[in-house]
Amino acid sequence: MKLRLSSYTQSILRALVSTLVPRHESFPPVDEDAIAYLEKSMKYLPFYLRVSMILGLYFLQFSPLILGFYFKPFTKMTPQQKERYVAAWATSRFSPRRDIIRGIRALCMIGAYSNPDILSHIGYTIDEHIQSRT
Amino acid sequence: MMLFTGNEILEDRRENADVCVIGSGAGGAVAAAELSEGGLDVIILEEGGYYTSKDFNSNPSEMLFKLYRDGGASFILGSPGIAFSEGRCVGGSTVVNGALCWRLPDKVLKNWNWEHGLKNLTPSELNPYFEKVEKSINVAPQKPESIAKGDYMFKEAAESLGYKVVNQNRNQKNCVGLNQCILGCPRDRKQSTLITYIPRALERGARLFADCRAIKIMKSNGVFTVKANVLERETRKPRRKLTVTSKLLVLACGAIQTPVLLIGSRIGNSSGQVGRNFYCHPNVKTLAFFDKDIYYWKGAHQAFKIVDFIDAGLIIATGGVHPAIIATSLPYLGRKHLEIMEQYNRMIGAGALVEDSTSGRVFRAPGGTPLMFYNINKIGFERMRLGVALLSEIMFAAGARKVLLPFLYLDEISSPDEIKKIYNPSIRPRQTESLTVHAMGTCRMGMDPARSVVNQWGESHDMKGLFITDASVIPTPIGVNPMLTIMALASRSSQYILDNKRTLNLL
Repeated sequence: MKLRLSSYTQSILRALVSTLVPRHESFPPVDEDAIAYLEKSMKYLPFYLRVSMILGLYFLQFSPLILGFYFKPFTKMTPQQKERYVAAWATSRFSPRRDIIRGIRALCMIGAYSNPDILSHIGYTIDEHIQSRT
Repeated sequence: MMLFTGNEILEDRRENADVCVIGSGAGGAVAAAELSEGGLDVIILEEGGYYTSKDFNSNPSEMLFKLYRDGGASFILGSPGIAFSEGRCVGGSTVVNGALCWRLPDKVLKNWNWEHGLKNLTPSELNPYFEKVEKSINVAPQKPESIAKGDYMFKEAAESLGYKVVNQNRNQKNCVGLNQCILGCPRDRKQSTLITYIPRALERGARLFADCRAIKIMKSNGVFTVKANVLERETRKPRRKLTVTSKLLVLACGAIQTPVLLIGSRIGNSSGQVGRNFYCHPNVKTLAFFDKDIYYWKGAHQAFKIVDFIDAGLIIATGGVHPAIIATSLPYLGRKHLEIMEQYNRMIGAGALVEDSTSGRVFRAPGGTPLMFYNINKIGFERMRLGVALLSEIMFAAGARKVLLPFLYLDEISSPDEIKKIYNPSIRPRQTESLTVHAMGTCRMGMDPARSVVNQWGESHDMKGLFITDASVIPTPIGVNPMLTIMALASRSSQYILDNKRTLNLL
């Protein structure tokens, strides 16, 4: 299993991350932070989780053609369609679908919420706190 | 100081010692220090890297990869799937845990006594070891000024409901409540083995090899041979080989890696119990939201606990963690996710540790990867529900306007009247968000070689001179944070080794 994702897999991942990450005018997009963290995580995850994640991404990409009645792959959907589709996966009664979103979302959020701009936006001023206590 | 990192080992190497200790966490570091101080020549192998407080910072995207196995994203398969994290660095999980120190409850020892024949493990036998360890890592309650406002709100609310709240004892010295425990204490206030037992071992001549992953152990002619891969510090790729020969071997790789190493080496498993009896204290957590700023992260991690429900298999406490960690568990996407996180300063996160009422199993997959399986049973799930209900009750008593729950189809409630919904039978274990940081069992201790892997001293029933001093020897669920128990048992095993040098061929 290659550690680097192919450009096609990356395009699916980017499309998924775009529906997951928080956005706000007060901080720049954090998609790249999330993707960088996800890609780095792939090198550290156990083999079976890496494989599951990649298979899950392909399942996400092509299942709208069969299961979702969108008649187009995930990456070709409009942002609103993507959001609805991912939300349906996240609350699906079929647990493997939920787990794929849960796993990728968790890694994605660590990358996103490590960004100082978004931390400042939510009021997490850890450096000030550390300074004040030491 | 004889400390070598992966990048400093430039060629294949052979080493010899009296004792080889694999792992430098709670069990390994204690054994390494006490055996070194007892005059033995010790080598410590640690798979993780060597990082000190100078390397620690508050950026999880950096620290999780340095200090945690799998970047903190391990997973226990089953119903529910359980997110699992453990340390992988010099000092092991003691570097990244919440520093919570509990002695083993007497009722658990009684259980070990009649269920596993461990008659010598009595409170009076173990207390001196607990005392010794507690002194070494400075176990003490938090200073009031280091405790967050959210913890005080939790305490007052719980007491107003009639629950007994006590101070958590933590291994810390002058902790000021930076709340960076899980990313490594940047001021060395947490007394992890990285700054306590490991330096003691090194001072007495122990040699520590970081970034060295043991892959096989063998024994021939009374000598143990450990084969290890030397990993490149950044990429974790194997670059060189390290071979260590020793008269005695101490395994302290944790309850996931130790059974995998034994199974892969085809030793120590005549009972068939290696990898079985896996316990993990599945946790559930809630997030409560208030109308005013609380800043629950501005203070020590889990300063108080509720002890009324220990006999019911529950410990309840609050704990502030980095927003990135909170963010991983929220069941929302995009904008709604951000709306929740924008209230970060107005929330209190609290959790319930659930004592196992069943066990799972750890397998070795091809390539040496561990696969963990655990299905919670009905009793365990009812404990989870009770834990969530109690947490919600306390948070509403503290003035919360809503509480986020760990259930997929019941993700929030807005009043105490809604707590009864938690007991709705349509909520299933598979639809529950659970996490854990405690892995135990898998090489259990006992007097019967047919039902256990090691004896009361942690020595393998199958192989003389092979000791295990990590959480894998714990024979039943203990229902409390296991660090202190692991350390006390490791100290007792070390004392046994020192008292029996002659019979163990160490003289």
